[in-house]
Amino acid sequence: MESGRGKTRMKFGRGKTRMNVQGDRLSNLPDDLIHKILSLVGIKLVVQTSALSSRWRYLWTSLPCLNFSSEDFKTLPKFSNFVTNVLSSRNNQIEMPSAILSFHVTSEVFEVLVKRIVNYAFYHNVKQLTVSFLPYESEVEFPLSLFSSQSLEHLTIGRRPNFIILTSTWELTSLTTLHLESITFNDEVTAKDTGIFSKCANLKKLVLKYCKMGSSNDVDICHSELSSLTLEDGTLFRNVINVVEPQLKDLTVRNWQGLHLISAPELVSLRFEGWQSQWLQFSSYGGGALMRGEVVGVVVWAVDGGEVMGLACKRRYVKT
Amino acid sequence: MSTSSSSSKKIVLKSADNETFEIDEIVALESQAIKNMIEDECADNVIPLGNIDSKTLSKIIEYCKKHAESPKKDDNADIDEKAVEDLKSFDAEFAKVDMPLIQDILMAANFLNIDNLIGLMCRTIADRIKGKTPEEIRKILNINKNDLLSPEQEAKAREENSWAFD
Repeated sequence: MESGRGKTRMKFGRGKTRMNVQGDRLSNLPDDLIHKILSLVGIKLVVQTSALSSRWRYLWTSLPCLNFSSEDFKTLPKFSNFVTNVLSSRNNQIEMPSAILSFHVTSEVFEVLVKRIVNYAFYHNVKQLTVSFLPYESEVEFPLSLFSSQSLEHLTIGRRPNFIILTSTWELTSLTTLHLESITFNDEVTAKDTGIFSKCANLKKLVLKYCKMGSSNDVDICHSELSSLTLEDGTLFRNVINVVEPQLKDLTVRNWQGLHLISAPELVSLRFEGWQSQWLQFSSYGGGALMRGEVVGVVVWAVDGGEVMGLACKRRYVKT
Repeated sequence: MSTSSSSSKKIVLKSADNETFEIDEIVALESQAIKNMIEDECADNVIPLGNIDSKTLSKIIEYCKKHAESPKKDDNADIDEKAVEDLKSFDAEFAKVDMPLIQDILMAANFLNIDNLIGLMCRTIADRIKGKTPEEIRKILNINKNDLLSPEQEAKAREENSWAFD
């Protein structure tokens, strides 16, 4: 066998760094580390670092993650002006893997702003997008009607304590993680063949928290690849969710009524918290491989190898 | 995980100032770079780290020990919340050091490729410069005087990005 001895040692480390320099150590770090630090401070400060030194002069323009929050600005026009300037000053050659937007205002200007940033992000192949809406008195509508990206892998939309009304239709072919919080759905959005869930064919992880629906139809969630499903605080969501997930492994349900597990033969982990046993129903194929379950609250029924088993309340269930 | 060696195997690290540290292999494996070396069988009994001084290295070993002995986040396993809390408070205490040492640890962690530690140091630096003016940040980070912009250049940078300086 060829020994590893002859191999080069310079696999070490991630980039060239000069160590033990007196004083300013940070400026010797590779750009990606400084970007990491910048992605953790407010975007206004990020731009201000252009005045720090010649090393920092243009560093911010290639920042791969943009984090816009209207909270950092006194007025909407100021925020709007800022967004325009950032997007036009940013180095357009650099892709943008991650964008985080949070807004606490709603108006036409706001709608235009969200669209502009999201379109820019999509154009620069964003993989991870988080849109959160800060508290406002009333429900607001999600400002994007058609939501379409080939690159987006992780999407989070959330807002508390009020709801966002979702009316969009989506085409997100690469999406693997979807996290929706405080969302009001309607039949069109959840429709079986044309709704948002059916348009995210590669979804692996789905989280719905504190959601409600404006009508009474059943909602079907069917994905060939989904392995993790979490439903939390859905007491306002009075519709039945039919789950047909051949690859589903982890299921977490907390205070969510009306879940019908039609097909989940690969299910290995179940956590259920609630106070009504009928909130969780299994059909004969729903939960075949259940290995580990944590049940808090009530007795539920699980199917194990074709036989219905009772799961005692407030105890851990582990199949041996 | 290492392919053949047992977890009780020892690794010796040697700092730039020639101090040696004998640690369990499992602790050394927290460093992706050392892990690669061991897997490629190109690690000698003593691994010389010619650009990390002993003060920095002992901090890094302290961090790796703690993280190596803490339960790893496993997809399906129930995570012990107490262990997570314990690790969090360890990290918070660990980061309470002066800025030069933080920067040394960050550079060394980058060199050794220890992801969690890189993240912790970046967050610490970010927290210390948040809400500060460029003048204050220059002091906090001890920005190299030779690298400073001339007054004209700085004025130009501020002018160009005036929309970000209220």
